[in-house]
Amino acid sequence: MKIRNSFYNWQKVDPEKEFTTEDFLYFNEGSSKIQFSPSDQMEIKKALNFDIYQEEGKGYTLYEIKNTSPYRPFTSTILYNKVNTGIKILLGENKPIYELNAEIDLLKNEEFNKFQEEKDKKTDDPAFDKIRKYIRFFFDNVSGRHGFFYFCETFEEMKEALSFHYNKIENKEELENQKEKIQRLKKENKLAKFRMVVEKHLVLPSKQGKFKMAIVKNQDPERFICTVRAFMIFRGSLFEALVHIEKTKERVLSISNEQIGIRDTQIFGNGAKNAFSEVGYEDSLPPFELF
Amino acid sequence: MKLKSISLHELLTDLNIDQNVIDEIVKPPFANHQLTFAESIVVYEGIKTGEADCRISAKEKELKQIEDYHQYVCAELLERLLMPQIAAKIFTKTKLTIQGVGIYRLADLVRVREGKIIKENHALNLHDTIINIDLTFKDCTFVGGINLQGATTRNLIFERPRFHTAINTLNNELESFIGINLYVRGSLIFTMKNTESHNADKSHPMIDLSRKARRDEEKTNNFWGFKEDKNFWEIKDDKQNESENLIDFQFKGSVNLQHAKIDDKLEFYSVNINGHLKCDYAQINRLIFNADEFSDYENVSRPEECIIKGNININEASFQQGIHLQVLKVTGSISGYHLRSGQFFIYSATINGKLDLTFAEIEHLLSLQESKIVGVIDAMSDSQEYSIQASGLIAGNIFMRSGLKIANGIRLYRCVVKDSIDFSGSLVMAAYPDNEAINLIGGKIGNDIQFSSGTVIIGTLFLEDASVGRNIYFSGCKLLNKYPENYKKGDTVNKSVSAKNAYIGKSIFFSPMSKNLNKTVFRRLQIEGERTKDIIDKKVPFPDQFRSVAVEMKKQLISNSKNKLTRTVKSYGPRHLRSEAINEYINSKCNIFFDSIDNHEFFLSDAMRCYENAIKYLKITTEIENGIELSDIELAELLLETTISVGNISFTGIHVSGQIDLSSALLYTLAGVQEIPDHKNRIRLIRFIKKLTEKRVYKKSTDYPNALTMKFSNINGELFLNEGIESNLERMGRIASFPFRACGEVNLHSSKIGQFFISPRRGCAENSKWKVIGVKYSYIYSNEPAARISLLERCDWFYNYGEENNRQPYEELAAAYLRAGDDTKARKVLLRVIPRNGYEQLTLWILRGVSWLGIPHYKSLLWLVGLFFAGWIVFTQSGNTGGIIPISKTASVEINKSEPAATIFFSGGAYSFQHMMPFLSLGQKEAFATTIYSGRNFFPDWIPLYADSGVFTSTYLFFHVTLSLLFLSMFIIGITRIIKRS
Repeated sequence: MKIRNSFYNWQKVDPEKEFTTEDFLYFNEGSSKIQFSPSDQMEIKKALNFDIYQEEGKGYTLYEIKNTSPYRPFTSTILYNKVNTGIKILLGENKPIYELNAEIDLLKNEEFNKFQEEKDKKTDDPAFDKIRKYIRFFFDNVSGRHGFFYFCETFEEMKEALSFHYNKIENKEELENQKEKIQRLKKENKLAKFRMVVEKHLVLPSKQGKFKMAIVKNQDPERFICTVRAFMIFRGSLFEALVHIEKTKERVLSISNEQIGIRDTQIFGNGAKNAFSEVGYEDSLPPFELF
Repeated sequence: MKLKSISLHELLTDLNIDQNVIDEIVKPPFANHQLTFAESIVVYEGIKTGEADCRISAKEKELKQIEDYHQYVCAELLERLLMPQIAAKIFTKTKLTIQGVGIYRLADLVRVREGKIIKENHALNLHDTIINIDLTFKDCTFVGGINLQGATTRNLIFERPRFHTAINTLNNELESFIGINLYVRGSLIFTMKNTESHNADKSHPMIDLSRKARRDEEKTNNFWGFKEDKNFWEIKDDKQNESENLIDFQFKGSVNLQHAKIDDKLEFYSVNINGHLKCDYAQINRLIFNADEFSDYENVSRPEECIIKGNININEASFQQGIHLQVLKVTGSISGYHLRSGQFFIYSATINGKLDLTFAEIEHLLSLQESKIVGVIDAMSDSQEYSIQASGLIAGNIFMRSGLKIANGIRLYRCVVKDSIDFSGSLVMAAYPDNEAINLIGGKIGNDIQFSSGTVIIGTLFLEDASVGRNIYFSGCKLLNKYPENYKKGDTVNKSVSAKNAYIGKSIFFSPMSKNLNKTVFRRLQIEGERTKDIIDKKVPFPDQFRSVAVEMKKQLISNSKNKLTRTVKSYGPRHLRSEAINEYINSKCNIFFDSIDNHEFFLSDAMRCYENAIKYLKITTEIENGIELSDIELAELLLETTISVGNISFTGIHVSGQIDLSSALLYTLAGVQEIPDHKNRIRLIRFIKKLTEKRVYKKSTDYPNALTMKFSNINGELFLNEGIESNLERMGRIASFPFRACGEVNLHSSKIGQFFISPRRGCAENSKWKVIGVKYSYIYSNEPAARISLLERCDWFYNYGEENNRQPYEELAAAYLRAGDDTKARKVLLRVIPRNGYEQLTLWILRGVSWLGIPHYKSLLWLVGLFFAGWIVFTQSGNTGGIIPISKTASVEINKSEPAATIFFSGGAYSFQHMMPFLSLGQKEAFATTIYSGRNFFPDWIPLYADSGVFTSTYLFFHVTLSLLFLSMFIIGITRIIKRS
């Protein structure tokens, strides 16, 4: 989770210094709840790098609060506005984020007119940085029906997401299958070839920033402010998809054109497809540690 | 990750609860109960603050791999905590909110942990319990039903709940919510509002996408719901809508609230029930079904409607304030037999079954708007079924307007309405086989009935024996039925309106209501037309406006009825057969019933075809009359203004205290009799029509079906069968007027009319025939400035039916003319009377000739003056030529002859004058006579003619005297009338 954490730049803060009693009263809707009780064991982290909801230090800050009350050994992620007192508790659904977008008018239209047309795939534009942050934040905090989408912009992130996927108890069986597959490839002396294919199509392009999010030509400028191509790991498979941000006030995100990466020619080219099928490998990616 | 387990005893001790109470709670099976996360939160935070938010962030769940059962709460624990003696001691707050948990029974614990299917049971059983705290369940799943039978609670709120089912032992049915005899001292609310929840469906972007695609598909249907389809009238196989499978039912079974009492409201907000809602005999203050009009974050408007896959039963229930059913879809019926309610609103709802309000009492307003009520037909029973069955309904007002669509008729038999009924802007289709669209027989309506602004009634509107306090408005209404294709005498004509013996307190209007109203409607149409391109693209826009909707609803009705029939046969038919065999059996045995159901469709298509003919006729006649070609927009506007009735309007025996205004109505019952002319022949046709109307009118011997029957009616005010009152005339730019048009027979037999406004051209030039025997009126008027002799006077519109009293119309018209002071016309009309035999015919001809010469009186005077001068000339000349001889000794013809005895000398002028006065005998007349033969030429020499002076003069005298007598008497009679009048 190193890269993910560095994206937000989490920093531990002292609860007593960060929040006053009034803040806690606000968290708990007066005294009607004890969901966030200021206790000794509470840990608070603040995302220093995450500033899209901030306007000159006045807007919403992202916090992670751990062990909030005696019987709650969990972490809560909240967006909190100290100045104008507003709180959004992120539990995995998109509603609070959309509400907040509408409230603070995220990503003003004028800034993004230039993204209507296809541009150089520059990713260092400050305006694009805002979009990138929004998309990553959204998918880090909003769950799909079957789990999270892990956005990956580097090979390391991919590795991380994959290993995380296989660490889950329910995926242990799948991991065994993967191991068997690798064993089979080993037996057939195809492992070297497989490794080569993976290195050629996954490892190397990453060094050239191939997996970074990039602006693509907006397919429906009437409806979207911009469209971004991105890579993500979902349930052990690499996907390429288009992410759209709608022009509505809520900045609704939607995904289209999802394609499973490992079989997809758009990412890996025709050669890759043939190469993967040649070594008899079509399913989701194995954890990289295996070879 | 494994969460730390806490024992119940530990937790309760931590809460500083009295040891006795703890002992009471921690009885078996909770002696060594290890709490799940949710249970610990419910006990700890619930008792401490009354708010137990047990939700775990999705991220946390995935990262730490927390198993689902940690969010479950065991029902027995909850039941024990809510036991009155325990709850009173532990809950210091007056509320308990539980959020984000699943509730299961202890017995199911193992299966829950294994993620297996749980047998249906009561997840929470609180029957006969008194609960003194406000209970709120947010995002809770009840793994089974909930039983609140006989319980007494305060406010009970379920936000985004999910109920499975349990068997109700009372009726052996699967029910989700059993609340028989439940008493809620507050509100009972089920709501899906506020999506701050774990509802994964909404948060998943991919799901959003698929939903959007579905909505886009829905959006392609335009405003009128019109879809291009070649096999428009064909019935497609009834396939279950695929999207229906995606419905997420929050209640897996029925909701039973029979005999329940709820002090405040019972609300369902965007809730879907896979079963019935039973509220029979309940006492509820308000019943509300509602939903957001617009779904979240989407531009597409699609209501997140409540769906009930079953019936709503509110028989005998009472609702002090009212019932509000909004944005609702009911697959079954709503039955509210003898329901009592303050108000009853149905708005933007779809009811697939029927709405039964028989003997219901609605104190203020029954309002059904923007809704669809389809209904179902029981093909095997003889009784007629309706979409809305509300016989004996008592209501303050009834609004069935603004987009209400009824597939199978409305029955309001003997209803009592204190104020008005408003049907404007609705679409009502008839019930088969009696074609009853709206049945208001014997109804008592205090004020108005409105059928205006584009109401479409397909079938018959029954108003027989109804009593209406004020007006009935048919302005712009379309009353559609079918007419016989080839009419023969004696065929019955379907009625579009049957108002036999109705009593109308004021008036009946077919004329346009208010200019502004129609303008608004038209503007809306134009806007929609621009959007849908419907009005512009389609040649005949109006039938399409409702046709597609009508067809769709009829299809729905047919499929409903067929399903019902199949179900009935299956349940009562042979049980030993396999399913395919049963289907075969049904097809073979029930063909008649299926056919009878199918007839619905045929009737609708027939009516539509007739309506299209009517529109064509209207268009062409208007174009001919105004000499223009109508654009589609103009035609749309014309149709909007025109009230169209296809079928017979029967006002037999109607009693109207005010007026009946039939201007701008088209009554159409003909097909095949008149050929609708082509556009090419138009100019010739205009000439032809002009010729027809001005000079000669032909009599018709064809039999016409009845278009308007007003036999034995009594109209105290005015009857307008013409262009209507003045304000109607200045409506549209190029179309001069919206006259009354009838295609078929207009039967006014023996009716009593106050003032009769008529355009007789409609009766003779167009495809109609008027029966006016026995009509009585005090005043008649027709506005025909162009004609030299008005058609009214010509009496050609009195078609001779060869019946008794066929001279009455002439007498009546003459009497009306006399009353109006036009004695000339009156006399002429009398001379046109139908003769009894040939002799009378002869005298009538002579009389007609004389009257043509001498009426009015100034004509006789002119004749008299002419005669006087003619006599003067003739007699003077005759005197000079020896045609006059003196018969007295004291008389002399020539003055210059010196006859001493002669004291009277002949004067042509005086002689002429004296002969004109028949009863006088004066000097000249006594003294001179004409000779039979004089032997001299009467004419002077320069005229090359010869006539014996004596013969000529005597002959002339004969005519002179006769004509003078005739014209003098006519003059005197004429003068007498003037004197008499003054």
